[in-house]
Amino acid sequence: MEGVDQGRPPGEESSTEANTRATAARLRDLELRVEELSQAQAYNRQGITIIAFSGEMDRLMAALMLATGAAAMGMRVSIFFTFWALAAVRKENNFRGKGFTDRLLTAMLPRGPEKLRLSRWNMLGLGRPFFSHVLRKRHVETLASLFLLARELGVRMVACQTAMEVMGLRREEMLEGIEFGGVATCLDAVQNSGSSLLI
Amino acid sequence: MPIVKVSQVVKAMACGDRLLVEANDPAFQADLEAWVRRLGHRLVEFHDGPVQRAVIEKLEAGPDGGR
Repeated sequence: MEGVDQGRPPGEESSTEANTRATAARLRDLELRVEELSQAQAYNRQGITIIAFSGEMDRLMAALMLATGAAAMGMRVSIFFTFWALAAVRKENNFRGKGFTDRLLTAMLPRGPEKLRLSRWNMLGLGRPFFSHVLRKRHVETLASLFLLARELGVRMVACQTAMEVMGLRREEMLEGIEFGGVATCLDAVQNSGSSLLI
Repeated sequence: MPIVKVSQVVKAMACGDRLLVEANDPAFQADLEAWVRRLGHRLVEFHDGPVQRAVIEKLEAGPDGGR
């Protein structure tokens, strides 16, 4: 900073005053910037993004419980459903106009939150009805009711368009209230969140 | 999840209103305390037991609890 005023004729107040003014302006800029950053940080802290990859009932229950809980805590919540998790957000089999591979995929991928298997203790499919019974008896939300609750609480739910294409799923086969997006949509949400989870 | 129910009811209340909640969830006290802290409301009283009873007062939303 020194030496800036060397060429100036002495006596003209300008140099120090100009310096002070510049410093003050710089300080104001910095203060604004700090304010902006802390606001952005506070905004991010209030957001959570969950990437749901697994298609099992128990894992998705954990994801949806966190999501609804976060919404209750006043946070912005996004869930991205990709790959196996797409099974949870589809509602009907639609074979019309599909080729052989897509028909096969459509038939094989479980349909909706009530049709998913467990990651453990599946017991050839008996685990699911057993657990559903236990959940109801203990007054714990089932996966299907968690989905309804999530929608009611304004949880943003996005199905990965690329994974849908892989699985041969069309938009009209997905649950109501589901948005569609790709990697960029997902990363944008991740960048605007304080924490992100892959389940 | 009692905390979700609580949040839905409190959202519709006016500032200064109080809510009496009865729950039977082992995590209710811990959850409620965290929730109140985050949303900037006040836990007026809490009684433990087979059925837990809590009184919550809705305060004006703090810096964190805009929604």
